[in-house]
Amino acid sequence: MAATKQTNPTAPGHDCGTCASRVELEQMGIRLDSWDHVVALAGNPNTGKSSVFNSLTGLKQHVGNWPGKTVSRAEGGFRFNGLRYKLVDLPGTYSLLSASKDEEISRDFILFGKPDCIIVVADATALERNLNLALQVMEITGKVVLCVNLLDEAKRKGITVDLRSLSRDLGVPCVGTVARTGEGLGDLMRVVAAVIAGEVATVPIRTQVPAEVERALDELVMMIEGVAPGLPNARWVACRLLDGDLRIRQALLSGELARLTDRQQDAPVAAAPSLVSIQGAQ
Amino acid sequence: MRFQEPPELPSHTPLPTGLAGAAGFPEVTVTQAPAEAILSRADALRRDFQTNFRDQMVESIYSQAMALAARSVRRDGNNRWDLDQRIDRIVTSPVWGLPIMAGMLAVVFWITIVGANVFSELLFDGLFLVESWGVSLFEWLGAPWWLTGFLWNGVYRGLAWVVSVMLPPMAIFFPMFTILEDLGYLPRVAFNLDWIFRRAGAHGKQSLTMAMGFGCNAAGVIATRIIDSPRERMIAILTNNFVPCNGRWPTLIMLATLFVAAEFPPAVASLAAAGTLLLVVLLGVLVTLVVSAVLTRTWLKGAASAFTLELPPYRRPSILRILYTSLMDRTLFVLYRAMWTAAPAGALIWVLANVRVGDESLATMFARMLQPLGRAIGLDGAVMLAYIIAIPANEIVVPTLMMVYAKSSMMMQEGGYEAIRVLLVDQNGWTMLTAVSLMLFSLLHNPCGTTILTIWKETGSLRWTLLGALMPLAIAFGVCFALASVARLLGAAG
Amino acid sequence: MTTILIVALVLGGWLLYTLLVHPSMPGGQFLASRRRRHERAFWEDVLRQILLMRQEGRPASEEALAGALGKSLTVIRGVLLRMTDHGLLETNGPGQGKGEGLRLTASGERWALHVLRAHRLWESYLADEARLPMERLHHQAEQAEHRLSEKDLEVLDAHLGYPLADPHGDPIPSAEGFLAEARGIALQRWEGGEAVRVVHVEDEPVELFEQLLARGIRPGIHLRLVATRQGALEVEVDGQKVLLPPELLANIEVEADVPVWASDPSVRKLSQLETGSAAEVVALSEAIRGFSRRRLMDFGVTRGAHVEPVLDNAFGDPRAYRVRGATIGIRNEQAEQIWVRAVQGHHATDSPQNPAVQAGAEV
Ligand SMILES: Nc1nc2c(ncn2[C@@H]2O[C@H](COP(=O)(O)OP(=O)(O)OP(=O)(O)O)[C@@H](O)[C@H]2O)c(=O)[nH]1
Ligand SMILES: [Mg+2]
Repeated sequence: MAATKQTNPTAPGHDCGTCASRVELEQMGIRLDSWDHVVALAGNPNTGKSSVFNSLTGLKQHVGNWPGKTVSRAEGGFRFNGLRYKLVDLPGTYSLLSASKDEEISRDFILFGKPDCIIVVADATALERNLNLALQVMEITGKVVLCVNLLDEAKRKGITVDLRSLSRDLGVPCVGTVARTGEGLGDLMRVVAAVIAGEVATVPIRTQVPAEVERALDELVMMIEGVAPGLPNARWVACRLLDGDLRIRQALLSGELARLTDRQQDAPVAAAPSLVSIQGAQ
Repeated sequence: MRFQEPPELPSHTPLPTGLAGAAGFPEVTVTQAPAEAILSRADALRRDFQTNFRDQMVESIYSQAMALAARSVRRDGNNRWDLDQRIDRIVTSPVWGLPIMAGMLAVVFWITIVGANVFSELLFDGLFLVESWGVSLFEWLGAPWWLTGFLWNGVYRGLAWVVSVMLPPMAIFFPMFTILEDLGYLPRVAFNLDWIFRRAGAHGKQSLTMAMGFGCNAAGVIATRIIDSPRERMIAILTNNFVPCNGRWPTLIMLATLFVAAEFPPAVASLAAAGTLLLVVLLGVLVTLVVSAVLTRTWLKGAASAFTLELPPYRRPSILRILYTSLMDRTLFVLYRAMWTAAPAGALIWVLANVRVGDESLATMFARMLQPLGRAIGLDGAVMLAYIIAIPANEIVVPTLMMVYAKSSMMMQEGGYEAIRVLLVDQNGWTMLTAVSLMLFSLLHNPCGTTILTIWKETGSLRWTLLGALMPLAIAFGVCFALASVARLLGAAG
Repeated sequence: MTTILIVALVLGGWLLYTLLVHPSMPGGQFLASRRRRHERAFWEDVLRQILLMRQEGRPASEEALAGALGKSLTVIRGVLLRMTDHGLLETNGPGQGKGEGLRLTASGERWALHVLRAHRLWESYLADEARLPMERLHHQAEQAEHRLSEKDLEVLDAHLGYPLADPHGDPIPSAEGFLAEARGIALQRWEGGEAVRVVHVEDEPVELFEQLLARGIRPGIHLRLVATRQGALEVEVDGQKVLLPPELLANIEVEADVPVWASDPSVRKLSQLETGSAAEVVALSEAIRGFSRRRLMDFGVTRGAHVEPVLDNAFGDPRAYRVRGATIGIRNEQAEQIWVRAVQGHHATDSPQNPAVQAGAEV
């Protein structure tokens, strides 16, 4: 499906980094009768996910400066470069390991909701903590774009983030934004579109774990691949099984996991093995 | 001989079949489905780990994150950072933290009261002028009296009351509160108060949900999702009602202004009113804590769970967005909802006031029947009737009450609070005690229909919902009854 | 007249009997199922008791069972007979009470393990998630263990993150019936070094258990054995000297597996750190379990993390700490379970440790 529309995103202005508010973005509010791609917003609480969501869709999700403002997921739509996107605002979570209610909502959507791309919104002023979640999401899916938000706050505090080197290290594109003013969101969407189209290949790094864990993971991954061949996140599934995640156990038993791979296979295969890293807004 | 029957074997325990005679467990089942084999292998591997698997995983991820961040993040000078911390040291300071909190709340109340006074009067005058025009127009057109009465003195008046009593306080209170929210002050409140909540067996984040409850108790109930412990979350749900929601603000503001402030010289009247509101809110917090503590020791036994809360950095509020969300979303939405209840309620009251049984109207009759109940708790039958009609939305209590008192045809000459004062004090014999009783009743009584429905949705249990609805009601009656009894005793003695 | 009355009485009585007592009618069925539930609970208590006795190396005799369960010998004999009939038990010939006594058959053992698993998982749940005080766990679990099905336990187990031991330190049997060996040695019989780790605290009898809790003894803490005084043992818990009378010693099991940092004098509790100083996390105590542990780790309070207490509120609890670029409020109750080593200034690496040599004390 995505392959047929690949011609659009390469519209003129692709290298126009300064014109963030170009007309190529059309907010569509809750008009969600049909869409071409589903994009999800994940991230730590209070990093500006709802702000990004509002800027892109024109909706008015409530935002507030305290963790946990959004407690259920919200959906909205927008059109970018001729393609219609459904955007899902997930509740903020610190990790995907704890299995509290909100984390389950996010985890289930990332794994079973079949998003075409996940934007992990990170707080530039506390990147270390935010990368914790980003790394976990990247274990589940490679279709990740890191949105380093709150750049204005970071600047105020004398913090600078080298997005180019971060992109290279992480293996997924990183885009700097200020969600409140909408700065960088055009770039963000351009990168997201490119990742979905497969123009930007992502090679997410894997977490280094102690040898003991690595051995256990390897063994399980082999077994899982026997049951669900081609599962892109077998390692993550193995990790969850070791941790004892009931939902994943059930998904494995019921064959739901194996069915997930069908979808992954008809997704466009990245042609270029090299990583195109995208620089953030100036 | 009856005991000869064997006890029911646990149906879930697959008994002897296929078990080896020896006590050798676990048995290796050869014909395991591949998926099951993976699971049992995972279980076995997990048991063999030297240290907790999850600990190892989280540590690995974090050390990776640390390395990554170190490579790409550069900090030069921490000067601005210190400003945040300096503010924090003041607002969470052992000495000043709590007074600042109370002070901030008082200021918000004061501004709300002063502002609402002005705008209410204007709106009131304007809207009732329209009513008299409408009535004249209908009379001129020769419409039958009941149509004029039903539409203008019933439906329209209900709406007019709701708009003029509710709109101003909400339109002032919400934006100010949202500014506090956007600044990042609310988590500091939770941080300051956590110790007290823990003492009551509740969670510090409950104060966040209570803050949301100022806006709307239903929203407050939904916000309890941020509390992870089910027990503490249930406490937060059941007690959210004890923070006055926007539907009850107007009642409280009106009473504080008309009765308490009137006792003070005009210069400090508004301050006195704000102080009264602050007292009412603190009383609500106290009741919340007491009820939480009681629940913790009865139906919801348990110790307080862990508390970990992030205190986000202070951020400059974006004023435009605040105005938008607080005016459009909160105020207008609430108003819209209130109007949907107020219009039919207005109609209902008009009908009640104009359908006569014998020589009294239905409204008078109902009020008379409820009189003993109302008297017992220091109020009267009309208030009880108003509260019954206002179950769907607390916003319409005051308008309903006014209309029950005013009995359709009686017109009010003056506008604003003065008209209400005449109606309540001169015509219906209200005293300070009535006002205090009503404030207490308004603070404590059962949540509105929407909130009850939300509690039901969130808890999924009829029992807890019933408790959430009836417990506040019982407390309201109990407290007001006690107050009235004491007053009566003192009155008899003095 | 009287005949009618008699007929009515008889008929009414019959009706009542059929409805309320006769086993095939609703009332009778209710009574019967209640009876069966009671009976089942009794059977399960017997099974669990036999399993525990065998584990502790005590012979399971009728007398011992009667004592442990507080029933008369006749009642115990009756139930043992019926259970043997159902193939749950084996006895070693007619001379019961001698020798090694009662034994569980394979199905008996399976059932017993299920009950034990239910008991210990439920205790873990109550302690970790419902946060019931420790001394109330046992009683509650006694009732729940008879209600929980295997399916329930599977869900519970996963939800709790497959704990290996219950809050007292007893191993929890796995779903397949695997039960780990208890690892500790009673403090009474301890002959090893002076640094020990508590792995198990016996929760029965409750009075002794409460005394232990009052002294700060719980699974996962480290003790330093200081001296013996007339059978009583003086130990150091969290830097405080506590005297353990002889009757308590049998109820504490310890092992020698003490991490290196436990004897490092520069390691302190996070709650003891002064505001404005900086430290590095050394370990999270085992006593932080379940959800609280996961939450703390989510915030980045993991081994090696840099923490700085920054704010105290009016009550001194909770306090706020800078962790990984964010400010986090943590209650002292949790901060007491986090071990840290002070470091100098912001983002300083480990300060050189001077290995303080401790004067060894006699045990
Ligand atoms: N200065 C600045 N503030 C921002 C930016 N993005 C968001 N904010 C503010 O950060 C706060 C949190 O924003 P939200 O959009 O509610 O965050 P969220 O990620 O949806 O939070 P949860 O729903 O709690 O998970 C709000 O006060 C926003 O106004 C930004 O780029 N710059
Ligand atoms: Mg949000």
